[in-house]
Amino acid sequence: MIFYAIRRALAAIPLVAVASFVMFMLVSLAGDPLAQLKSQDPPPAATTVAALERELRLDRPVLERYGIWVSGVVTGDFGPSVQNLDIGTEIRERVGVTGRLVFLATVIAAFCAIVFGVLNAVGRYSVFDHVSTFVSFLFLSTPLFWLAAILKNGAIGINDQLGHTMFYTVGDASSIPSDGFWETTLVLFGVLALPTLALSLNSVAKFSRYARASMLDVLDRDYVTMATAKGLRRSRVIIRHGLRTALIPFVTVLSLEAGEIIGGAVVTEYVFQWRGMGDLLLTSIRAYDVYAVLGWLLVASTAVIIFNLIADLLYGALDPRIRRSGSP
Amino acid sequence: MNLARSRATAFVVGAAVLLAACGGGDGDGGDGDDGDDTGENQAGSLVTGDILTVNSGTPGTDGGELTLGTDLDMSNWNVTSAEGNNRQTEYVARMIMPTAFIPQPDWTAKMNEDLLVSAEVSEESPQTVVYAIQPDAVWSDGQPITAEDFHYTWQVQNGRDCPDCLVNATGGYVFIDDVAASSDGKTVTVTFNEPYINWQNLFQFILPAHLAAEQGDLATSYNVFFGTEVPAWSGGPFVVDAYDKGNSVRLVPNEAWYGEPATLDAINLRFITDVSQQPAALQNDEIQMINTTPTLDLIEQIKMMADRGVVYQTNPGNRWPWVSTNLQRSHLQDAEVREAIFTAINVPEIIAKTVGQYNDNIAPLGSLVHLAGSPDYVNAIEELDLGYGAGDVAAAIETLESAGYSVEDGVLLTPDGSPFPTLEFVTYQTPIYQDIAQVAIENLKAIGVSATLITDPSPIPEKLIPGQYDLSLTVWAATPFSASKAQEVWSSGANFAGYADEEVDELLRQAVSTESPDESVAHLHDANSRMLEAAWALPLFQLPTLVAYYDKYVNVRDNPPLVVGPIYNAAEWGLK
Repeated sequence: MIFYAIRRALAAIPLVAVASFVMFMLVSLAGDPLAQLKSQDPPPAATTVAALERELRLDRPVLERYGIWVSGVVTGDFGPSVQNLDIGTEIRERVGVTGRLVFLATVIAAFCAIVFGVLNAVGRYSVFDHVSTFVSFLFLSTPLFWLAAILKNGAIGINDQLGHTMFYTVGDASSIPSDGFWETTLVLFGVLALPTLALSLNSVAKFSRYARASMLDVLDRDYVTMATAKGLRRSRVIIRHGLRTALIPFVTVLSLEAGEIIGGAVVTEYVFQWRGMGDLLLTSIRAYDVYAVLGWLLVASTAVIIFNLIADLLYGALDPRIRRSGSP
Repeated sequence: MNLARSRATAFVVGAAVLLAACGGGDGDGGDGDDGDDTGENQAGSLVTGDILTVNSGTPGTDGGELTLGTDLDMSNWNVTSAEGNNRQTEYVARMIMPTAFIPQPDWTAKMNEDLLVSAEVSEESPQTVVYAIQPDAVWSDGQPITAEDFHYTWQVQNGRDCPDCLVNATGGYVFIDDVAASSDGKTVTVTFNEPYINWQNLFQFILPAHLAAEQGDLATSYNVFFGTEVPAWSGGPFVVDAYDKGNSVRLVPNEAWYGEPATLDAINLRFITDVSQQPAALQNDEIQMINTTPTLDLIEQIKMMADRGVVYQTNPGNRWPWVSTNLQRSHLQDAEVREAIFTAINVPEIIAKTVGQYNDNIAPLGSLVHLAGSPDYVNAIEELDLGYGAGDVAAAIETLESAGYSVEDGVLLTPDGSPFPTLEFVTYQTPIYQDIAQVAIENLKAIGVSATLITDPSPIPEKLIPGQYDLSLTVWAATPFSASKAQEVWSSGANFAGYADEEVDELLRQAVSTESPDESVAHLHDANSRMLEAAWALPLFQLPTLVAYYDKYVNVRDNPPLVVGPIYNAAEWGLK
């Protein structure tokens, strides 16, 4: 199993290299990083433009720029930035911001999805099942940015009723200094609540369908029928015998969907103005900041590969048959 | 049967949930009498008045804070550098850097009496300006503001003493021969190597020389220290207290400030990169002011907040779109063709379909050198009876026919009978500019001219300078210092249309180099008339500004000549 994982990891390296080359070419040829600067009114001095072009390596051929970038990445240097960012430091800080959002949203979504999935499967075709199915598809088909706007309006209404700002609509940290543990905690809750809810609602809808389907498949198995016939409590049959088996495909799907959650986080971060990886990507694209975009792509593609590997490992961990056979 | 009934039940319940979510309600709540979003305060949320005194008052309460939403993070702290020449840096700069003359809302420039006792031309040949600095003017560390600071500010921007300084524009600093100090350093004598009428535009942002001296050479101090380091210094009413990268900048009153103390405890700049998210933040009281270019949707959202006490000011601003013809294209060489194009474009219609939807005081612009609101503005298009921008199709066709063109079956034919080529109309990707261009394109169809809209995020360097266009819609930003601006953008070689007229160049040069303001204005008017008669550039109108804020703040006032608008008097803001 371990060797399998290592082989998969090594096989991903050339994939990442090819992806980085393609992305470098696409972004480099998309436009001039100094175009906005040159469009300023009044336009900057020619010497200034020339100096910035040297700094950004725009006076070199694109292939040479790629080579320099690759050799720099190996040593942790992600290259110069149009936005005057230390790209490596920026990515490290923003991964934490996005990670916080994605982790919370995923945990909440997974927990709720399992609960709803089990309830729906156990009470299949009941009123609850139909209603929650409808609501699931409603959230599934709702664009994330629209959902976020609805939540913002609702939060503003709640703030009005409370008479103070409990929920924040922008930022991953309040610009107003807060004193004390409780005030800081409340502020943290206030900025986390809406984006986490928006991202998790979208994910709950999707995951609950997986959980339901998986649970239904398990509940129809002979061994579950046998466990019931033996006289075991219904809850024990469902949770110990049914859910554990149903979790296997669910967890692997969850790991595979992690990449999509990161994609959803881009929209969420932009709407709620979180200074995370999604905001970095969008502002860097706007600024034609080639090296910042590439840094983002490198980290994102690595994350997807890692999550895929985790999915494989989890599959083996949860299914003894996989572990004993030594490969998925 | 049970299955069918339960499905029906589920459908009804789900539909009820959907309708409840989509339904309206008095979401605002608050203390409004009616809680109705279309309440009576909507019409009253627009604040009007004398642009110099609107919303004036004495703060009734000391303290308080105001958070202003801005759309980009700080990338560079040096507003005079190329990378720092942006709105968010200027917000901070206007509050912490001393400035000699402050542009006023009425398009004049007023001497900063907090910094200067006087500033006047002492000699005309060579032109010599003497600044007398207030004795108590100091930096936040207690060091006096002296001629050395003026000298350093000149050195780093004149393009000669510091070639490696990444300056944005040398401007009038290239005309300065020397900046000398009196014995106590409080008198600055600036000698010019040739007359420069817009000398008041100089020393808008003065840098601390004593801090620069500690940083090494000029380029290091200018590019690195003042550019990349968060300023812990100040010579203005505020000082940077905290910078949370990506989130906000917090400024608090400068304890060493030598002018009237600021009333507010703090002003925060909140970075909200998506402008469409700013209204919700304003509604939620996370920010208390928005300063941006308005859109219809934005104005409507702000009106809906009237019962919360949100009001707004809007005025014709300093940015103005104009249409250029590419004189290097053979099919645009005939002046009659250009005249007809400009006559067919209907500027009132463009205004009505764009900014006129939410602003009643935007009018067609008739000058390439001054904006309406400036005391020197003259509508030369009307004065010369050129008819440009009137949308007069008949007059346009008559002009074409006088040059041998004809319009048949809705197609313009050249004198040799061939169809007039389809024009490439280039502009920015910003929606409002696309809208303006689309209306103009529709106007041109009436005279048989077809045009294709081509957008680019940065059209000037990408399309216009290389000459890859027929018509373009671009935007200039005006200042109260018209002469230097006009020379900068309209001179031969400076404009991208290929327009070259020695007489205009001479008029613009004279406008800049004369000592008489009246003569300067007269030269500008003459240059303007000549350029308009050449029918290569058509001014359209001024884009409106928008300042939306909670009406609990007094002395918040729009300043259209400045891109940072209301910040110019931030020290006077206070709570009612």
